[in-house]
Amino acid sequence: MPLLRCEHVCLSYDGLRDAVSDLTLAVEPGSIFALVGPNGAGKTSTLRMLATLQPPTSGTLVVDGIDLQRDPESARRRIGYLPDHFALYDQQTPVEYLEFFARLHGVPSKGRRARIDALLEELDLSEKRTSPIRTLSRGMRQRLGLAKTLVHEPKLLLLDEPASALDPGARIKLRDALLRLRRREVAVIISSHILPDLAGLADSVGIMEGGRLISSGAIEDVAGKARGAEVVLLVEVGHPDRARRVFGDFGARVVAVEEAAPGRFHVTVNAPPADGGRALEELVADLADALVLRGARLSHLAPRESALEAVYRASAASAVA
Amino acid sequence: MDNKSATKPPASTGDLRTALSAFAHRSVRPRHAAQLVLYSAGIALLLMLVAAWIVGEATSPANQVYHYPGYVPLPWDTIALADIFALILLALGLFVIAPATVAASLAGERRAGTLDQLRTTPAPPLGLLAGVVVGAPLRLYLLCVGPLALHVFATVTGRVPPSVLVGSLFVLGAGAVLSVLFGAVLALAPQRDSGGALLALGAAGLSGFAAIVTTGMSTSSSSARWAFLHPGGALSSLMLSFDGLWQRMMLSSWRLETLHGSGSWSTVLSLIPAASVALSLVVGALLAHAACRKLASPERPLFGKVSAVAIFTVLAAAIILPVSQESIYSSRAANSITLALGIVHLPILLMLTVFSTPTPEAFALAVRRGQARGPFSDVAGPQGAAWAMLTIFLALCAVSFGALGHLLHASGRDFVAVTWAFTVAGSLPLFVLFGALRFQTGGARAAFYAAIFAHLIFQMIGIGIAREWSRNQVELSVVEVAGVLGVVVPLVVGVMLARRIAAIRATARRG
Repeated sequence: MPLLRCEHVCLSYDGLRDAVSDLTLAVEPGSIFALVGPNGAGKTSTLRMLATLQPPTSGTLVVDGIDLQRDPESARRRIGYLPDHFALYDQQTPVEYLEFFARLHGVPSKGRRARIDALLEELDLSEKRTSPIRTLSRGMRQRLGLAKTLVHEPKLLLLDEPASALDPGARIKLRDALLRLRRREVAVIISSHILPDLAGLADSVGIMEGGRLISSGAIEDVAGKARGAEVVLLVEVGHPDRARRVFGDFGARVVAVEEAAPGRFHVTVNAPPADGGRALEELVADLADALVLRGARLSHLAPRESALEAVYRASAASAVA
Repeated sequence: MDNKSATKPPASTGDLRTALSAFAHRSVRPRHAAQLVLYSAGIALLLMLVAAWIVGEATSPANQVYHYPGYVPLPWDTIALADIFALILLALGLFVIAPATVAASLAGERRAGTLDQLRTTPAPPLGLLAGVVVGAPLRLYLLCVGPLALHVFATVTGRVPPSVLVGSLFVLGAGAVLSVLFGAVLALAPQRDSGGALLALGAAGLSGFAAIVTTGMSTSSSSARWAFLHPGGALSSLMLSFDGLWQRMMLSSWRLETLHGSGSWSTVLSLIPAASVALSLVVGALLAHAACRKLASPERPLFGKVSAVAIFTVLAAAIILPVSQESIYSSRAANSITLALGIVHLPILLMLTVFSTPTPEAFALAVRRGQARGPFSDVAGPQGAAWAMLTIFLALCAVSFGALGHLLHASGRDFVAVTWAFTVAGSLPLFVLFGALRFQTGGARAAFYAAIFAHLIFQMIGIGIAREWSRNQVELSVVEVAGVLGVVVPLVVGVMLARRIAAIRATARRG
């Protein structure tokens, strides 16, 4: 049974244009759903509706069996929301800040402090636990915001561009934290423009454009649909001549070969997107085997852009069109 | 981060308590609370010292001046004077500074976006509201402990009758509730975020001004009946109701004679505290309802139409019903009072109308979707509620001093003036709705309202001159121009409003 169910949800502020139009999706417990799309696509409006901050104009939103419009207060116990731009109480310390929100969420006093300490430890904020929030760096503030959304142990986590202010190290920590949450059956909906971060993280993706969810599903399925049959691979080898001969052996499966630099090829291959991208996986494996066997000294072989990047590029291109 | 120990869902009273505890804890830590109470004791001590110094100076033979025969010296007493200072300080803190603090705090939360974060917690809107109005001024409340203790000490030592202590505690409590809720409503009223400092200043200014006016009212037999309109006036009435230092300081000897000679003033003064507490609680409940509505759904107008009419009814009844029959010595006087009361009620009606008008987006959405819009629904224009308020105003005037009968028996000029005034007031919702739908920015809307304000002032001048028996040619021209504008301006705005609504409908058809 899905943790989140959206059925035909529409949001219009003035009746002229739908900020979100006929949105239907379901998110399972323990899964990470990436919401991708250009600016103004309706991602933030969708997250605000799910966070009970904005009622939909029509449609149904159900979280853990609770209708968000009928019983928003119960639903909020199950939802954690981190907006794109958020403010903290600068005069407080991280511990005071988390304690305030823990109290508001009704976290029992027994074990409250232990939970706060664990969160601070997990998000690498222990050293700053008693420093005023105004002295925290941007990345620390972002992590504290995330800690706030986790303090009541929500079942559904809504993150709007959570990694935008984080340095690479902090992004890895965020990613690890989200993976840990997934293991605990927490469902996460994450909207982000930093696609490499989402690539190995999200189980499924939804592409939004002009308020509509134009495609959703497993990343490879959606990416396959978005990029079509032709995929560009980046191949780096020590012996370019041997590699050229290997590409020639693949016949129609290799559509074009461009040598961007000595030993560095952009190889366009033909891999039908069916079966969740298995054809591409098999082709890449075959190509790698052949290059190794023919002694081309293969050092790199992968699609030039990740599946999510392909999805995003396709959605952005159609938005411009 | 063990997900199994999910938070248990407490009952709604539990939610309220939880929110209160969270906000209180955020504002003041227990060890700081003790510190603040200690400071408040220092304030009480300071008041005693200042009072002792003043009393010493006032009673010193060196400072005695010539007094007229029969002069009764003030009964100077250190504790009594310190008690007066304490009450003034309490009134200042609870009725002026506390609402300003609440307004500034809530406006700050709105501007920073933290209010949205609070709205994503399970705390109900009433819990959040209670948390803000208790939490934001909590330090101030704690600083009030010392002066309050001084007031109790004055009662224990016989300077203040026990009934006055009880009454003042009720007035202070209910008045504080009303004042902080007023501050909260003021911060939530604008559709978009606005400056906290400005709102704080507005809350303090309005409440402080009302306190001074009603305190002044309490010291006159003819106006004391309105002193309950602000808790500051009610406190003053309480202190005037017994023969103490405040009574001697505030009333001249002939007013003292009037007070002691006529039972009616004393009776009014004795009724004012109860009336003030009742008014504070009723208006406070209506304001709390409005604030909770806005916290739950910021896209809705601050006041529902029914709430706006209810608030108007309570305030109008509080202002109109105490009008004395003695002041109605002729139909002309009655009509003058009706017009004067109309001027007093006009800003109240205007504010309630503005803050019960839907946002342009909500109105347009309802029009385009063909949503059913009863006259009292949130997405309806404000005309239904505004005209209901006008009818209630007339009804209250009729009940209080027979305004309708006097209007029918009035001269033609009086009849024209009063009906003209009501027509002008009746056109207000037209302007408010047009201003909301046509102008997107606050500045443009403010400029439009300023123009309408100028129109209203000119209409008042026209109405005032129209009532006069003798008019020269210039005055006659003013009346004629005002009369023409009184018809043309609403007509033009009405046509523009109709075109605007037609355009909104047209986009829906095209869409």
